[in-house]
Amino acid sequence: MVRYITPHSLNEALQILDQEEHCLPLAGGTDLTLLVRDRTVQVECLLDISKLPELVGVHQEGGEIRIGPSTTLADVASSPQLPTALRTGAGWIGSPQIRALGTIGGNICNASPCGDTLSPLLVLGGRFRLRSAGGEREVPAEAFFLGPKRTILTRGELLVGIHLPREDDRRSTFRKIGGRGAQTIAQVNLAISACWREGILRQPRLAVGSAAPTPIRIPAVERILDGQSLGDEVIAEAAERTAAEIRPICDQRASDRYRRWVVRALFRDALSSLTEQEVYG
Amino acid sequence: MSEINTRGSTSGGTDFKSVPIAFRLNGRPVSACIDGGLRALDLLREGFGLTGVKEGCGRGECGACTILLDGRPVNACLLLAAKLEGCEVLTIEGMASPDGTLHPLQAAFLKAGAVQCGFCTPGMVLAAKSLLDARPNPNEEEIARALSGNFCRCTGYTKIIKAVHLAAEEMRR
Repeated sequence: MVRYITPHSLNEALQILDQEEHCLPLAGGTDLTLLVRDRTVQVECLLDISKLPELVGVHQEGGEIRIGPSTTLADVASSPQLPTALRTGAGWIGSPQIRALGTIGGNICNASPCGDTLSPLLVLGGRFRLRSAGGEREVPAEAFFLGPKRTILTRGELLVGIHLPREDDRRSTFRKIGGRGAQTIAQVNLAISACWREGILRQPRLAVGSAAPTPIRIPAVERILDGQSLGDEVIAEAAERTAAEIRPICDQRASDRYRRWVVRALFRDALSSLTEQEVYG
Repeated sequence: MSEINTRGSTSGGTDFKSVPIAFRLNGRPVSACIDGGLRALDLLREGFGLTGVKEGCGRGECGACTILLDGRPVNACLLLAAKLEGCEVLTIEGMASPDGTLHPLQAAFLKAGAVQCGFCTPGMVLAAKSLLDARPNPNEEEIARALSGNFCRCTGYTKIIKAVHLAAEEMRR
């Protein structure tokens, strides 16, 4: 039997997580419901944090945007104040049905290397606020992921906020390829953000998902691109380097060879879309 | 209010089926006492006998179990029943009027021949209803996107998309 608790406040939720050893936090449940049913995880108690007002919504606060982790993927995808890469990534996860339930915090804490909001969060300077009954800490998105399905979250600790700096002169874009167009898990996904002024790319950030045990930034390629006007040679060098830097696995979704091959095309496509964007975002 | 106790929980515990929930199901207030791990799919099919909610893949991929939760399509196989608390739930059994008059989408699916084996049809109709409630005049791309979580393995999608167009026209009249 599984108990089901719906707390009334974040503090109450944190107290319960602190006291109940076998209590799992649950947001949309699109991943967790399967694990409970298949008995992949032994659950005695579920703590539904999907409706806590402190954890829902997209808010502008001073120089940053705060996203509540229980905000659904559908709402992230349709929030105009969020950067293009994050909206696009959220909008390509699963199906309308999954996006109506699934949350951005769930996508993050599930920590699948192919999560489509993760590479966007890495290139947007995302920071995660983690809180437990004992205290709070804030970490950069890149420091959060340890491996497939593994994060730095400790027992009793919840992701309570996703923070993005407002960088009005930065553009971003997201690309994904899977076995079909929709309702598909990424064989590779990729996000780029950069400032693009007078034909020069500055402060580029590149992240790739489904290409290593965690989503990864690729600083070597960022250095190749920084300050460049993006001639054919630079783009070719950067695309080759991207393929060389990733560490994909070969599994039922795609071979490592294919992933290295296709990431070049995704990279070129994303880069040209970034420089052709008319509006910042 | 109809009340129900659901099967599908282990017996022997002192307080199994520990979660009381109340929600509106196809326009009627209902309540149940359930286990926290029970899926909405099992509650609706086995508890309430609504077998129009189909279990296809059981993993959120095929959309056969689509229901509308507060007007939005969701997979009942990925939804814990406890999450129904306080919500408005619509299944295919609640689509037609109480007098039996079909919803324009149901009529259009019949007219366009958008049904072969019929297993995906309830989910298709409900996903399409959610679209048309929000966008009365969708284009083909929008329809395809709205139905992208619903798989048909018999007939293809051409007639299904045509049916949604037909229903949209009828509903705008």
